[in-house]
Amino acid sequence: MVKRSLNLEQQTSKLRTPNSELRITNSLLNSCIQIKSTKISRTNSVPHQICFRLNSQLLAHIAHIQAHQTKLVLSPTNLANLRHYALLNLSPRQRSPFTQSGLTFATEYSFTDDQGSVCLLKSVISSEGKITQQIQQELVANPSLLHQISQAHYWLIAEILGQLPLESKAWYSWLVVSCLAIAIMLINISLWYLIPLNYLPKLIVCLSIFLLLTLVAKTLITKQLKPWIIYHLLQGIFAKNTMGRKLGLTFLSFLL
Amino acid sequence: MNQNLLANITTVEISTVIVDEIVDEVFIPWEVYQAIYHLSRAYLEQSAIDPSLWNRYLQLRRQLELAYCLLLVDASSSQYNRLLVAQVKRDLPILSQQNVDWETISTRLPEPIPSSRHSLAKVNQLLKEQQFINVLQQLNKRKTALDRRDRVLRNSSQPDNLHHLNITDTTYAQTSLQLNGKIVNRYSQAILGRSDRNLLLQLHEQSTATGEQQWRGLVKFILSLVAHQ
Repeated sequence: MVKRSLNLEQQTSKLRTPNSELRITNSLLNSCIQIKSTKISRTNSVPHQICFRLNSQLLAHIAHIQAHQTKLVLSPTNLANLRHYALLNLSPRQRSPFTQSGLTFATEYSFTDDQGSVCLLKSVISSEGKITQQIQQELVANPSLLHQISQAHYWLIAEILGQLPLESKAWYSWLVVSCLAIAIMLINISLWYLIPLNYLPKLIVCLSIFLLLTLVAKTLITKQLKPWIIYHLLQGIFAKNTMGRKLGLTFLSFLL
Repeated sequence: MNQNLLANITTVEISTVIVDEIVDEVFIPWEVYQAIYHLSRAYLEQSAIDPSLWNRYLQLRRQLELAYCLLLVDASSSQYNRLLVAQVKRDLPILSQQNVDWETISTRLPEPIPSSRHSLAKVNQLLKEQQFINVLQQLNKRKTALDRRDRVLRNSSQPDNLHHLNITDTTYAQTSLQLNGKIVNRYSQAILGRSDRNLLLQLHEQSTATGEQQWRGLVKFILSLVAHQ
Protein backbone atom coordinates (compact mmCIF):
# COMPACT_ATOMS: atom_id res chain seq x y z
CA MET A 1 0.00 0.00 0.00
CA VAL A 2 2.82 2.34 1.02
CA LYS A 3 4.76 1.38 -2.10
CA ARG A 4 1.69 2.12 -4.24
CA SER A 5 1.22 5.55 -2.71
CA LEU A 6 4.92 6.29 -3.20
CA ASN A 7 4.59 5.38 -6.87
CA LEU A 8 1.57 7.63 -7.17
CA GLU A 9 3.52 10.50 -5.60
CA GLN A 10 6.40 9.92 -8.02
CA GLN A 11 3.99 9.91 -10.94
CA THR A 12 2.29 13.13 -9.82
CA SER A 13 5.63 14.79 -9.26
CA LYS A 14 6.56 13.81 -12.84
CA LEU A 15 3.32 15.37 -14.04
CA ARG A 16 4.15 18.64 -12.26
CA THR A 17 5.47 21.11 -14.76
CA PRO A 18 8.23 23.51 -13.68
CA ASN A 19 5.67 26.31 -13.96
CA SER A 20 3.20 24.71 -11.57
CA GLU A 21 6.03 24.02 -9.12
CA LEU A 22 7.03 27.66 -9.27
CA ARG A 23 3.44 28.70 -8.71
CA ILE A 24 3.24 26.51 -5.61
CA THR A 25 6.57 27.84 -4.29
CA ASN A 26 5.43 31.36 -5.02
CA SER A 27 2.20 30.95 -3.06
CA LEU A 28 4.13 29.29 -0.19
CA LEU A 29 6.53 32.23 -0.04
CA ASN A 30 3.66 34.70 -0.21
CA SER A 31 2.06 33.01 2.79
CA CYS A 32 5.27 33.40 4.83
CA ILE A 33 5.18 37.21 4.46
CA GLN A 34 3.18 38.80 7.25
CA ILE A 35 2.71 42.31 8.56
CA LYS A 36 2.82 42.69 12.33
CA SER A 37 0.61 45.37 13.83
CA THR A 38 0.39 47.16 17.16
CA LYS A 39 -3.04 47.85 18.64
CA ILE A 40 -3.23 51.53 19.55
CA SER A 41 -6.90 51.58 20.48
CA ARG A 42 -9.84 49.19 20.65
CA THR A 43 -10.52 49.59 16.94
CA ASN A 44 -7.23 50.81 15.45
CA SER A 45 -3.93 49.06 14.91
CA VAL A 46 -0.77 50.33 13.22
CA PRO A 47 1.46 48.01 11.15
CA HIS A 48 5.00 48.19 12.51
CA GLN A 49 7.04 45.50 10.75
CA ILE A 50 7.12 43.05 7.88
CA CYS A 51 7.86 39.57 9.11
CA PHE A 52 9.14 36.54 7.15
CA ARG A 53 8.24 33.28 8.90
CA LEU A 54 10.70 30.73 7.55
CA ASN A 55 11.63 27.11 8.17
CA SER A 56 14.12 24.69 6.57
CA GLN A 57 11.71 23.79 3.73
CA LEU A 58 11.06 27.40 2.81
CA LEU A 59 14.80 28.12 2.91
CA ALA A 60 15.31 25.28 0.41
CA HIS A 61 12.53 26.70 -1.81
CA ILE A 62 14.15 30.14 -1.74
CA ALA A 63 17.57 28.68 -2.59
CA HIS A 64 15.96 26.81 -5.50
CA ILE A 65 14.24 29.95 -6.81
CA GLN A 66 17.44 31.97 -6.45
CA ALA A 67 19.42 29.30 -8.31
CA HIS A 68 16.95 29.54 -11.19
CA GLN A 69 17.04 33.36 -11.04
CA THR A 70 13.26 33.45 -10.79
CA LYS A 71 11.41 36.40 -9.32
CA LEU A 72 8.98 36.24 -6.45
CA VAL A 73 5.56 37.40 -7.62
CA LEU A 74 3.77 39.07 -4.73
CA SER A 75 0.07 38.27 -4.46
CA PRO A 76 -2.25 41.27 -5.02
CA THR A 77 -3.29 41.08 -1.33
CA ASN A 78 0.30 41.11 -0.09
CA LEU A 79 1.26 43.88 -2.49
CA ALA A 80 -1.65 46.10 -1.39
CA ASN A 81 -0.89 45.55 2.32
CA LEU A 82 2.87 46.06 1.85
CA ARG A 83 2.31 49.27 -0.11
CA HIS A 84 -0.09 50.48 2.57
CA TYR A 85 2.53 49.74 5.26
CA ALA A 86 5.22 51.57 3.26
CA LEU A 87 2.96 54.54 2.58
CA LEU A 88 2.03 54.78 6.25
CA ASN A 89 5.66 54.77 7.40
CA LEU A 90 7.26 56.85 4.67
CA SER A 91 4.79 59.62 4.06
CA PRO A 92 5.58 62.65 6.27
CA ARG A 93 2.13 64.04 5.55
CA GLN A 94 -0.63 62.94 7.90
CA ARG A 95 1.77 60.70 9.81
CA SER A 96 0.46 59.10 12.92
CA PRO A 97 2.65 59.55 16.03
CA PHE A 98 2.87 55.75 16.18
CA THR A 99 4.40 55.20 12.76
CA GLN A 100 8.13 54.96 12.17
CA SER A 101 10.09 56.90 9.58
CA GLY A 102 11.18 53.80 7.72
CA LEU A 103 10.59 50.14 7.04
CA THR A 104 11.40 47.16 9.26
CA PHE A 105 11.87 43.62 7.96
CA ALA A 106 12.39 40.72 10.37
CA THR A 107 13.04 37.03 9.72
CA GLU A 108 11.63 34.54 12.19
CA TYR A 109 12.79 30.93 11.96
CA SER A 110 11.24 27.72 13.28
CA PHE A 111 13.87 25.06 13.97
CA THR A 112 11.18 22.37 14.35
CA ASP A 113 7.47 22.24 13.53
CA ASP A 114 6.37 21.97 17.14
CA GLN A 115 8.61 24.76 18.43
CA GLY A 116 7.83 28.46 18.25
CA SER A 117 9.78 30.70 15.92
CA VAL A 118 12.65 32.93 16.98
CA CYS A 119 13.62 36.22 15.39
CA LEU A 120 17.13 35.88 13.93
CA LEU A 121 17.64 38.78 11.57
CA LYS A 122 16.18 42.26 11.31
CA SER A 123 16.75 45.12 8.87
CA VAL A 124 15.60 48.62 9.71
CA ILE A 125 15.73 50.99 6.75
CA SER A 126 14.96 54.54 7.82
CA SER A 127 14.01 57.30 5.44
CA GLU A 128 16.83 59.42 6.94
CA GLY A 129 19.35 57.10 5.27
CA LYS A 130 20.22 54.99 8.30
CA ILE A 131 20.14 51.22 7.76
CA THR A 132 20.66 48.82 10.64
CA GLN A 133 21.07 45.07 10.25
CA GLN A 134 20.54 43.24 13.56
CA ILE A 135 21.75 39.65 13.81
CA GLN A 136 20.86 37.43 16.72
CA GLN A 137 24.06 36.14 18.34
CA GLU A 138 23.13 32.43 18.20
CA LEU A 139 22.90 32.70 14.43
CA VAL A 140 26.51 33.91 14.22
CA ALA A 141 27.56 30.68 15.94
CA ASN A 142 25.98 28.68 13.08
CA PRO A 143 27.65 29.98 9.86
CA SER A 144 25.81 27.59 7.53
CA LEU A 145 22.36 28.63 8.78
CA LEU A 146 23.52 32.25 8.92
CA HIS A 147 24.40 32.08 5.24
CA GLN A 148 21.03 30.54 4.27
CA ILE A 149 18.96 32.88 6.45
CA SER A 150 20.78 36.03 5.40
CA GLN A 151 20.52 35.09 1.71
CA ALA A 152 16.77 34.43 2.06
CA HIS A 153 16.18 37.56 4.19
CA TYR A 154 17.99 39.95 1.86
CA TRP A 155 16.47 38.32 -1.24
CA LEU A 156 12.91 38.66 0.11
CA ILE A 157 13.52 42.33 0.97
CA ALA A 158 14.95 43.00 -2.50
CA GLU A 159 11.97 41.29 -4.14
CA ILE A 160 9.49 43.28 -2.04
CA LEU A 161 11.24 46.62 -2.55
CA GLY A 162 11.47 45.89 -6.28
CA GLN A 163 7.68 45.54 -6.55
CA LEU A 164 6.72 48.25 -4.06
CA PRO A 165 6.97 51.33 -6.34
CA LEU A 166 3.63 52.28 -7.82
CA GLU A 167 3.70 51.69 -11.54
CA SER A 168 2.31 54.29 -13.82
CA LYS A 169 -0.31 52.44 -15.87
CA ALA A 170 0.30 54.18 -19.19
CA TRP A 171 -3.00 53.11 -20.75
CA TYR A 172 -4.95 54.26 -17.68
CA SER A 173 -3.22 57.63 -17.82
CA TRP A 174 -3.91 57.92 -21.56
CA LEU A 175 -7.53 57.00 -20.89
CA VAL A 176 -7.81 59.81 -18.31
CA VAL A 177 -6.05 62.26 -20.64
CA SER A 178 -8.23 61.21 -23.64
CA CYS A 179 -11.46 61.56 -21.64
CA LEU A 180 -10.42 64.99 -20.41
CA ALA A 181 -9.38 66.06 -23.91
CA ILE A 182 -12.74 64.92 -25.36
CA ALA A 183 -14.65 66.74 -22.59
CA ILE A 184 -12.66 69.95 -23.15
CA MET A 185 -13.15 69.71 -26.92
CA LEU A 186 -16.91 69.19 -26.52
CA ILE A 187 -17.10 72.27 -24.28
CA ASN A 188 -15.16 74.27 -26.86
CA ILE A 189 -17.33 73.08 -29.79
CA SER A 190 -20.48 74.03 -27.87
CA LEU A 191 -19.03 77.44 -27.06
CA TRP A 192 -18.02 77.95 -30.69
CA TYR A 193 -21.64 77.72 -31.81
CA LEU A 194 -23.12 79.51 -28.80
CA ILE A 195 -20.92 82.64 -28.65
CA PRO A 196 -22.21 85.32 -31.01
CA LEU A 197 -18.77 86.69 -31.93
CA ASN A 198 -16.56 86.96 -35.00
CA TYR A 199 -14.03 84.29 -35.97
CA LEU A 200 -10.94 85.78 -34.28
CA PRO A 201 -12.47 86.67 -30.87
CA LYS A 202 -14.18 83.25 -30.87
CA LEU A 203 -10.85 81.56 -31.49
CA ILE A 204 -9.18 83.53 -28.66
CA VAL A 205 -12.01 82.77 -26.22
CA CYS A 206 -11.99 79.05 -27.08
CA LEU A 207 -8.20 78.82 -26.80
CA SER A 208 -8.25 80.61 -23.42
CA ILE A 209 -10.98 78.31 -22.15
CA PHE A 210 -9.06 75.28 -23.45
CA LEU A 211 -5.89 76.37 -21.58
CA LEU A 212 -7.85 77.26 -18.45
CA LEU A 213 -9.67 73.92 -18.33
CA THR A 214 -6.43 71.98 -18.93
CA LEU A 215 -4.78 73.87 -16.08
CA VAL A 216 -7.75 73.33 -13.75
CA ALA A 217 -7.90 69.59 -14.57
CA LYS A 218 -4.14 69.18 -13.98
CA THR A 219 -4.28 71.12 -10.69
CA LEU A 220 -7.31 69.14 -9.56
CA ILE A 221 -5.58 65.83 -10.22
CA THR A 222 -2.14 66.62 -8.76
CA LYS A 223 -3.06 69.00 -5.93
CA GLN A 224 -6.44 67.67 -4.86
CA LEU A 225 -7.27 64.19 -6.09
CA LYS A 226 -3.84 62.55 -5.55
CA PRO A 227 -3.32 63.87 -1.98
CA TRP A 228 -6.98 62.99 -1.25
CA ILE A 229 -6.40 59.36 -2.30
CA ILE A 230 -3.11 59.18 -0.32
CA TYR A 231 -4.88 60.61 2.75
CA HIS A 232 -7.66 58.02 2.50
CA LEU A 233 -5.11 55.23 1.95
CA LEU A 234 -3.37 56.27 5.18
CA GLN A 235 -6.32 56.78 7.47
CA GLY A 236 -9.54 57.11 5.53
CA ILE A 237 -11.96 55.04 3.53
CA PHE A 238 -9.28 53.08 1.62
CA ALA A 239 -7.30 52.15 4.77
CA LYS A 240 -9.91 49.93 6.39
CA ASN A 241 -9.26 46.62 4.64
CA THR A 242 -7.23 44.98 1.90
CA MET A 243 -10.00 45.44 -0.67
CA GLY A 244 -10.09 49.18 0.04
CA ARG A 245 -6.29 49.41 -0.16
CA LYS A 246 -6.27 47.62 -3.53
CA LEU A 247 -8.93 50.02 -4.83
CA GLY A 248 -7.14 53.12 -3.50
CA LEU A 249 -3.79 52.01 -4.92
CA THR A 250 -5.40 51.32 -8.31
CA PHE A 251 -6.89 54.83 -8.34
CA LEU A 252 -3.49 56.22 -7.36
CA SER A 253 -1.67 54.38 -10.16
CA PHE A 254 -4.40 55.78 -12.44
CA LEU A 255 -3.11 59.29 -11.74
CA LEU A 256 0.64 58.69 -11.89
CA MET B 1 5.86 65.66 -0.47
CA ASN B 2 9.08 63.83 0.25
CA GLN B 3 11.43 66.02 -1.78
CA ASN B 4 12.48 67.92 1.36
CA LEU B 5 13.07 64.67 3.19
CA LEU B 6 15.41 63.38 0.49
CA ALA B 7 17.09 66.78 0.04
CA ASN B 8 18.37 66.69 3.62
CA ILE B 9 20.13 63.35 3.22
CA THR B 10 23.84 63.54 2.50
CA THR B 11 24.92 60.17 3.86
CA VAL B 12 23.66 56.62 3.82
CA GLU B 13 24.86 54.87 6.95
CA ILE B 14 24.81 51.09 7.28
CA SER B 15 25.39 49.54 10.70
CA THR B 16 25.67 45.89 11.65
CA VAL B 17 24.80 44.89 15.18
CA ILE B 18 24.89 41.53 16.90
CA VAL B 19 22.21 41.37 19.54
CA ASP B 20 21.36 39.05 22.37
CA GLU B 21 17.70 39.08 21.38
CA ILE B 22 15.80 40.81 18.60
CA VAL B 23 12.86 42.60 20.11
CA ASP B 24 9.95 44.44 18.56
CA GLU B 25 10.71 48.12 18.85
CA VAL B 26 7.34 49.78 18.93
CA PHE B 27 7.41 53.54 19.28
CA ILE B 28 4.87 54.70 21.85
CA PRO B 29 5.36 58.48 22.08
CA TRP B 30 4.03 58.89 25.61
CA GLU B 31 6.32 56.11 26.97
CA VAL B 32 9.39 57.62 25.32
CA TYR B 33 8.41 61.11 26.52
CA GLN B 34 8.02 59.86 30.06
CA ALA B 35 11.34 57.96 29.98
CA ILE B 36 13.31 60.99 28.76
CA TYR B 37 11.42 63.54 30.87
CA HIS B 38 12.51 61.79 34.08
CA LEU B 39 16.22 61.70 33.20
CA SER B 40 18.20 63.59 35.85
CA ARG B 41 21.44 63.06 37.79
CA ALA B 42 19.46 61.73 40.75
CA TYR B 43 17.48 59.35 38.54
CA LEU B 44 20.61 58.03 36.78
CA GLU B 45 22.31 57.45 40.11
CA GLN B 46 19.27 55.70 41.51
CA SER B 47 18.99 53.49 38.38
CA ALA B 48 22.69 52.54 38.70
CA ILE B 49 23.44 53.73 35.15
CA ASP B 50 27.15 53.60 34.34
CA PRO B 51 28.55 57.07 35.24
CA SER B 52 30.47 57.27 31.94
CA LEU B 53 27.08 57.52 30.17
CA TRP B 54 25.44 60.12 32.44
CA ASN B 55 26.32 63.11 30.30
CA ARG B 56 25.02 61.42 27.15
CA TYR B 57 21.73 60.57 28.88
CA LEU B 58 21.40 64.12 30.18
CA GLN B 59 21.97 65.49 26.69
CA LEU B 60 18.79 63.66 25.65
CA ARG B 61 16.88 65.48 28.39
CA ARG B 62 18.39 68.82 27.32
CA GLN B 63 17.39 68.22 23.69
CA LEU B 64 13.83 67.35 24.73
CA GLU B 65 13.59 70.64 26.67
CA LEU B 66 15.12 72.52 23.72
CA ALA B 67 12.65 70.96 21.24
CA TYR B 68 9.72 72.08 23.44
CA CYS B 69 11.10 75.57 23.95
CA LEU B 70 11.51 75.99 20.19
CA LEU B 71 7.83 75.14 19.78
CA LEU B 72 6.85 77.67 22.47
CA VAL B 73 8.41 80.51 20.44
CA ASP B 74 7.26 79.24 17.05
CA ALA B 75 4.20 81.26 16.01
CA SER B 76 3.09 78.55 13.57
CA SER B 77 3.02 75.88 16.29
CA SER B 78 -0.02 74.93 18.37
CA GLN B 79 2.29 75.17 21.43
CA TYR B 80 3.12 78.83 20.78
CA ASN B 81 2.84 80.89 23.96
CA ARG B 82 3.11 84.64 23.50
CA LEU B 83 3.52 85.26 27.24
CA LEU B 84 6.57 83.01 27.48
CA VAL B 85 8.40 84.12 24.33
CA ALA B 86 10.71 86.64 26.06
CA GLN B 87 11.68 84.25 28.87
CA VAL B 88 12.21 81.29 26.53
CA LYS B 89 14.31 83.37 24.13
CA ARG B 90 16.52 84.30 27.06
CA ASP B 91 17.02 80.61 27.95
CA LEU B 92 17.47 79.27 24.42
CA PRO B 93 21.23 80.09 24.14
CA ILE B 94 21.85 78.19 27.41
CA LEU B 95 19.76 75.20 26.25
CA SER B 96 21.61 75.11 22.94
CA GLN B 97 24.95 74.49 24.63
CA GLN B 98 26.16 71.10 25.74
CA ASN B 99 27.56 72.25 29.10
CA VAL B 100 25.74 71.72 32.39
CA ASP B 101 24.30 75.26 32.73
CA TRP B 102 20.94 74.19 31.28
CA GLU B 103 20.30 72.04 34.37
CA THR B 104 19.75 75.21 36.40
CA ILE B 105 16.79 76.22 34.22
CA SER B 106 13.47 75.02 35.61
CA THR B 107 11.63 72.79 33.19
CA ARG B 108 8.73 74.03 31.07
CA LEU B 109 7.80 70.59 29.76
CA PRO B 110 4.36 69.35 30.87
CA GLU B 111 4.45 66.49 33.35
CA PRO B 112 3.87 63.08 31.70
CA ILE B 113 1.87 61.87 34.70
CA PRO B 114 0.05 65.05 35.54
CA SER B 115 -1.78 65.96 38.68
CA SER B 116 -4.58 67.76 36.87
CA ARG B 117 -6.74 67.11 33.81
CA HIS B 118 -5.50 70.37 32.33
CA SER B 119 -1.88 69.16 32.32
CA LEU B 120 -2.93 65.86 30.75
CA ALA B 121 -4.50 67.79 27.86
CA LYS B 122 -1.20 69.70 27.49
CA VAL B 123 0.77 66.46 27.16
CA ASN B 124 -1.71 65.03 24.65
CA GLN B 125 -1.59 68.25 22.64
CA LEU B 126 2.22 68.22 22.64
CA LEU B 127 2.36 64.60 21.47
CA LYS B 128 0.24 65.52 18.45
CA GLU B 129 2.91 67.95 17.27
CA GLN B 130 4.68 66.20 14.36
CA GLN B 131 7.90 68.22 14.76
CA PHE B 132 8.12 67.18 18.41
CA ILE B 133 7.35 63.54 17.55
CA ASN B 134 10.21 63.51 15.01
CA VAL B 135 12.63 64.74 17.70
CA LEU B 136 11.22 62.19 20.14
CA GLN B 137 11.83 59.38 17.63
CA GLN B 138 15.44 60.41 17.16
CA LEU B 139 15.97 60.71 20.92
CA ASN B 140 14.38 57.29 21.40
CA LYS B 141 16.86 55.69 18.98
CA ARG B 142 19.76 57.27 20.85
CA LYS B 143 18.34 56.23 24.20
CA THR B 144 17.92 52.63 23.01
CA ALA B 145 21.59 52.61 21.93
CA LEU B 146 22.63 54.09 25.29
CA ASP B 147 20.56 51.51 27.18
CA ARG B 148 22.31 48.74 25.23
CA ARG B 149 25.71 50.29 25.95
CA ASP B 150 24.83 50.49 29.63
CA ARG B 151 23.92 46.77 29.67
CA VAL B 152 27.26 45.91 28.02
CA LEU B 153 29.21 48.03 30.52
CA ARG B 154 27.40 46.45 33.43
CA ASN B 155 28.10 42.92 32.13
CA SER B 156 31.74 43.65 31.33
CA SER B 157 32.28 44.86 34.90
CA GLN B 158 31.57 41.33 36.09
CA PRO B 159 34.82 39.31 36.51
CA ASP B 160 33.51 36.30 34.47
CA ASN B 161 33.18 38.35 31.36
CA LEU B 162 36.36 40.38 31.64
CA HIS B 163 38.27 38.19 29.21
CA HIS B 164 35.53 38.23 26.60
CA LEU B 165 35.75 40.46 23.61
CA ASN B 166 32.09 41.15 23.80
CA ILE B 167 30.48 42.92 20.86
CA THR B 168 26.89 42.00 21.67
CA ASP B 169 24.44 44.90 21.64
CA THR B 170 26.90 47.38 20.18
CA THR B 171 27.38 48.39 16.56
CA TYR B 172 30.52 46.45 15.67
CA ALA B 173 30.85 47.84 12.13
CA GLN B 174 29.48 50.89 10.36
CA THR B 175 29.87 52.17 6.81
CA SER B 176 28.96 55.69 5.70
CA LEU B 177 28.45 56.31 2.01
CA GLN B 178 28.60 60.06 1.54
CA LEU B 179 27.21 62.08 -1.37
CA ASN B 180 30.64 63.57 -2.05
CA GLY B 181 31.93 60.07 -2.80
CA LYS B 182 33.64 59.45 0.52
CA ILE B 183 33.19 56.03 2.09
CA VAL B 184 34.01 55.76 5.78
CA ASN B 185 34.24 52.41 7.58
CA ARG B 186 34.27 52.21 11.36
CA TYR B 187 34.94 49.00 13.29
CA SER B 188 34.73 48.19 16.97
CA GLN B 189 38.17 47.45 18.40
CA ALA B 190 36.77 44.33 20.07
CA ILE B 191 36.35 42.43 16.79
CA LEU B 192 40.06 42.57 15.99
CA GLY B 193 40.90 40.06 18.69
CA ARG B 194 38.07 37.66 17.89
CA SER B 195 38.60 34.36 16.11
CA ASP B 196 35.44 34.87 14.02
CA ARG B 197 36.44 38.36 12.83
CA ASN B 198 36.56 37.28 9.15
CA LEU B 199 32.99 36.04 9.36
CA LEU B 200 31.92 39.27 11.08
CA LEU B 201 33.64 41.42 8.47
CA GLN B 202 32.10 39.36 5.68
CA LEU B 203 28.71 39.77 7.34
CA HIS B 204 29.09 43.55 7.45
CA GLU B 205 30.25 43.58 3.84
CA GLN B 206 27.05 41.75 2.89
CA SER B 207 25.01 44.14 5.09
CA THR B 208 26.55 47.12 3.30
CA ALA B 209 25.95 45.78 -0.20
CA THR B 210 22.35 44.82 0.53
CA GLY B 211 21.74 47.89 2.71
CA GLU B 212 22.66 50.17 -0.18
CA GLN B 213 20.28 48.24 -2.46
CA GLN B 214 17.54 48.41 0.18
CA TRP B 215 17.97 52.17 0.45
CA ARG B 216 17.73 52.50 -3.34
CA GLY B 217 14.49 50.46 -3.27
CA LEU B 218 13.02 52.69 -0.58
CA VAL B 219 13.92 55.85 -2.52
CA LYS B 220 12.35 54.37 -5.69
CA PHE B 221 9.09 53.85 -3.80
CA ILE B 222 9.14 57.43 -2.48
CA LEU B 223 9.89 58.76 -5.96
CA SER B 224 7.09 56.69 -7.49
CA LEU B 225 4.70 58.73 -5.36
CA VAL B 226 6.13 62.16 -6.15
CA ALA B 227 7.75 61.88 -9.59
CA HIS B 228 4.70 63.00 -11.51
CA GLN B 229 3.53 65.76 -9.18
